[in-house]
Amino acid sequence: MQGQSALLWIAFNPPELDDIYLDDEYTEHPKVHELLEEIAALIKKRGWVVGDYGTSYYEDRPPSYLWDEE
Amino acid sequence: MAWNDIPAKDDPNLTFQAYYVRLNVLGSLLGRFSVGLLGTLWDVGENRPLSGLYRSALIGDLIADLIRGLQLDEVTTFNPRVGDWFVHSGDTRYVDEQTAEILLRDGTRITGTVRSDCRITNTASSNMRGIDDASLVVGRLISPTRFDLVAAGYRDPLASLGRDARGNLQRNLLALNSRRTEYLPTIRYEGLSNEMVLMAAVRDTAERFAIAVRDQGTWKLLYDANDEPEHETRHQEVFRLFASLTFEALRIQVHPGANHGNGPTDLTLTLNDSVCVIEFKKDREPKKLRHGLTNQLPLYMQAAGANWGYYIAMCHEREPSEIEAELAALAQIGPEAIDVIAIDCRRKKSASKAGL
Repeated sequence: MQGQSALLWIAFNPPELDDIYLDDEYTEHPKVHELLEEIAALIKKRGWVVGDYGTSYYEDRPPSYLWDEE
Repeated sequence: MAWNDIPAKDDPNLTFQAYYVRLNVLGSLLGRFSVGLLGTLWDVGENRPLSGLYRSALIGDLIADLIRGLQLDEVTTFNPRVGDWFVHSGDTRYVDEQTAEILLRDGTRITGTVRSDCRITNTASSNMRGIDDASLVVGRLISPTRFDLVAAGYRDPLASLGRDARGNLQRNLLALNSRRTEYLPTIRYEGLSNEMVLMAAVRDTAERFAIAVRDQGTWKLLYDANDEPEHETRHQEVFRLFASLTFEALRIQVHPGANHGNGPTDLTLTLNDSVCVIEFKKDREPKKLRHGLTNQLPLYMQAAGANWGYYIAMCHEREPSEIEAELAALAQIGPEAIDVIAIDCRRKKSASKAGL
C-alpha cells in the first residue's frame, strides 16, 4: 500500500492500536502445533531448557548465555 | 505482456491492487506458520473501515512477492501443464458472472470459475465483466481446460521504478523496501518466547524457500545471464522475498550485512532481545562450505550475541542430501545451536526440452 491509500488506511486504523495477541487456540492449530513441537524438540535436545516451550522458557537468560556460561 | 515491456515476474517494484482472491488456494503456496498468519491478518479487516483497501493491499503485496519469487510466467507464452501456476495480463473474457476464459497460444481455451465470495472490493464485479484487458490474473491449471482463478487485480504503473545515474531503468531483481509495516498490525503470541517465534518464522521460511527453489522454478533466479550461479547476495534477497509477510507481521528486523565486530553477516535477524544469524554458502568449494559452518558462523553468532544460527547450503553442483549429511556431522561437533539445511539449486530441465 502506498501514498494516499496508505495514509487513508493509517488514518482509520493506526497500526499501533492493532497489536494482535494470538492465544493457545491459534498455536494448537495442527500445522502450527507441529512446527512448534519440532522446535521445542530442538530446544530440549540442545539443553536450553527443560519443560514446555511456554513462557517459562528462556525468560531469565540473556541472549548471550550460550557463550557466557563458562 | 501488459501495458509495458517488463514481465511482472521481472519487475523489481511490482505492486498489485488485488480485487479478487481465493485465499485457501493461495495458502497452498505458504508455509505452516505463514499460512496461519495470513488468515489472521485477513480476519483483522473484518468489520473495519476500509477493510477492502486493507485486504487488497495485504493480498496484493503477497501476490507481488509470489509472482517474483516463483517466477510466474505469462500463460500465453508457454504451454502450461496441469498444476502449473501462471499470470495473465492480456484479455481475460468473462463469459458470464461465474466464468473467466483465457485463450492460450495453441488455441486452447481454459476456463475458471469466478466465486462471489472471493471478491475483495465492491468494484470487483464491474472489473470482472466482458473482456478485461487491464487486469493481471494469477491462476493455476487444474485440468487441460480448467484453471483456478486465484487472484485478479491491477498492476500499478512503474512510476516508482528507480533510475540510475544515466537515467536508465534499474532492473535489479528485487526491491526489498518494506511496505507492509505501514499498515499491518503486529502479531504477538501469548505463551511463546521471542526465541520460539523467531525460530518458527525462520524455519518456516527456510522450508518454504527450499521447496520453491527445488520444485517451483525459483532456482532460475539464482543464475546469472551466463548461466552461472549468482553471488550469494542474490540467494539472500530471494530468501527475504519469501520471508517478507511473516517477518513484517511479526516485526522481525532484518539486518543484511550487519557487522557485529568480526565482519559482515549475511543476515542478522532480531525479534526484540532474540537474535539469529543466517549464513548462506554455495557448494562450489567444499573447504569454504565447511569453514562457513565450523568457523565463520559461530564467530558471527558469538559477536552478535546470537544463541541460534541457521546455515543454508545452496547446492548448485552436488546432491543436497549428501551435503546435508556431511554438514550435520560437522555441526554435531561444533556449536549445538546451528541448524543446517541444504537446498537443491541445480538447474531443472524445461519439460518441453526434456529428453531432447
